[in-house]
Amino acid sequence: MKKALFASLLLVLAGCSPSSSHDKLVKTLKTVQSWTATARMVGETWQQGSIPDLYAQQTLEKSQQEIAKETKDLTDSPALPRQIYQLQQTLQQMTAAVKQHRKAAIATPLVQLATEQQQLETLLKAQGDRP
Amino acid sequence: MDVIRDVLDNQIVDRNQRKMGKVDGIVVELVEGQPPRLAYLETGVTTLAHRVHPRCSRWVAAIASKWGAKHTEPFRIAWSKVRNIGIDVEVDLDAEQTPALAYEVWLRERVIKHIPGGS
Amino acid sequence: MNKIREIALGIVTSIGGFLDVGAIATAAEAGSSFEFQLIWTIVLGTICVIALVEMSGRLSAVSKHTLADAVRERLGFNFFIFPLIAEVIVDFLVLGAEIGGVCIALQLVTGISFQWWALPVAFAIWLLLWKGTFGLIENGISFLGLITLAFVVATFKLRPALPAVAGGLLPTIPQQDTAHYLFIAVSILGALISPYLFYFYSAGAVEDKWDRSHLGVNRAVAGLGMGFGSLVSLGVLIVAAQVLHPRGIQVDSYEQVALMLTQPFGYWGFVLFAASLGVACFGAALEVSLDTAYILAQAFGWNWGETLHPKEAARFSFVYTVFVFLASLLMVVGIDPLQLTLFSMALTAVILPLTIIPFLVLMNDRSYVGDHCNGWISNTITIFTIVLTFVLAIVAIPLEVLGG
Repeated sequence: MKKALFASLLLVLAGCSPSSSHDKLVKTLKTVQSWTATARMVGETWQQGSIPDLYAQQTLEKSQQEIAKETKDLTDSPALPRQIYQLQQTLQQMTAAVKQHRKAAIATPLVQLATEQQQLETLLKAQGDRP
Repeated sequence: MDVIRDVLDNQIVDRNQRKMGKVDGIVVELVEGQPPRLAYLETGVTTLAHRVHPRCSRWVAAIASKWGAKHTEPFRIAWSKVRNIGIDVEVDLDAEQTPALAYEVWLRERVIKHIPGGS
Repeated sequence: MNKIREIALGIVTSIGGFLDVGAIATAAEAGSSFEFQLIWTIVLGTICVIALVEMSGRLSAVSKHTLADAVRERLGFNFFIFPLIAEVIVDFLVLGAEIGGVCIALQLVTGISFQWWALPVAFAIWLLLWKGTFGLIENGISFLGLITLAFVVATFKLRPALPAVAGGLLPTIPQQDTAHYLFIAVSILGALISPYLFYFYSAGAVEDKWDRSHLGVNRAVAGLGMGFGSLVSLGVLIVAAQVLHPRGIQVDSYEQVALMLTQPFGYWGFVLFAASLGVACFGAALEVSLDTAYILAQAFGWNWGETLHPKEAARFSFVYTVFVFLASLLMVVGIDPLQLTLFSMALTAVILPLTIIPFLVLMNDRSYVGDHCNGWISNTITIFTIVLTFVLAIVAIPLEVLGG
């Protein structure tokens, strides 16, 4: 009796887990968004002089690593890999600006990042509208 | 007095109020024709382990026989030595002179004293 | 006059010592992911912990026993061995997380990876335990912990919309991310209602030689101290909700949390966050290490006491020495501090019922608390806490594990 209950509980829970590729994509996008937003805030606060250089650099690098980790297995949505590539390029430029202590140099990639963030948001919304 | 409630698992303190373990077990003497007599209090990790499961006490004894003070026998305190039973069970002994503190003394002499600030 | 001073000191140290790595991590997660929706969890957890801490104090003041002593005596070793083993395991993981918190604070400021800081931090903790007195640890570090009031100040500076905040007082369950929401709720409860708090508080009452005349002090410290302390926790949540949530940052790592105070305070905000994290976690690490030594010493009847010289309590001192260094290894090998924190908080919630059930027995037993038995309110809160944590843990943890 106990075994049957436990087995059915597992089945129910398994059914609730996001195993569909659609859900996985949404989750991936959300994580990428979160780290993009983090990088943006890091860039902005660094520009204002509110955070130390080393922390800014390390956090930007961590953002890149997390996004790379998250998008490693992405096969859906053909537009995405290119967007991610562009995103990583922008982050790389920001990291370089921080490494060289050139506050002026981060302005352009920051604007670019804002645009890329918008694109991600649109993509996420499109996923949300799907059944 | 409820022996299980008021004595078993209570703290034992010596005549100087020094803690010397808990009452891990009680040894009762059975003599034919007479009511059971409380003979000894027992304190020791093997006694305690035995209450959890008899096999436990064999493992514990095996580990204890190889480590530290290498002391496995539980310490028995005669009931006549019990002075008072209140919050703690006070016994008319000096803890340092008994094997109840075998590991405490071993750790103190062999480990703690060798660490700066430990002596 | 002396009692007033004791109350004041107790309240101040409770506020300063309220935050630890679990409270910070879970509140930040809650605020960044769900804005104000989880405020009710912090309020609920605070009510539960106030009641349970007051009970621990009352038990020790009247019976002159610590909680661990009393549980073994009244319920027997065969019962006590379960919460004992559970508590030692959880303490180990929580201590690792607290050490991690201090190491992250040092990493934020120096850029040197937290893994390198683990052993030096463990050494500092050990040194303070070895050389310090109970008074120094309880009061000194908690006074430093008042720096965490920065979160309360930040809350006022950020001017959150009061209706939205008040809305968070009502329990709601969102349609999206339900599993994650419930998991954070469970973790918040585990962070706030930590068993090590009760064992530590009751041991402290005995170390400070409390008696029946301290029952008023106990109520004041538990109620006001924990109550005001929870405002700091709420502060962390609200700041995360105001700063991180609107930007779309969902906390996955401590680096993201560090940005929280830069909006209200600029560069000083970054420093204040690192200092708050470091001090709060250091203080908690001292308490958790002591807690493990306390419960093992009290379980087996060894000599114990922080104010005792190590050679007077050899087994007690040996336990915390080994424990601190072993727990620091969790950080040395590079286990993610935030993940360890959330995991240990959830695990705490799972073992809570085991720790709290003895309260129901002890606090209604006249031979332990005399005329000061639990009223119906205390008993109700106790039963409620047991049922709530049990149900949430059973439901939320498998969902998160399978879904995450």
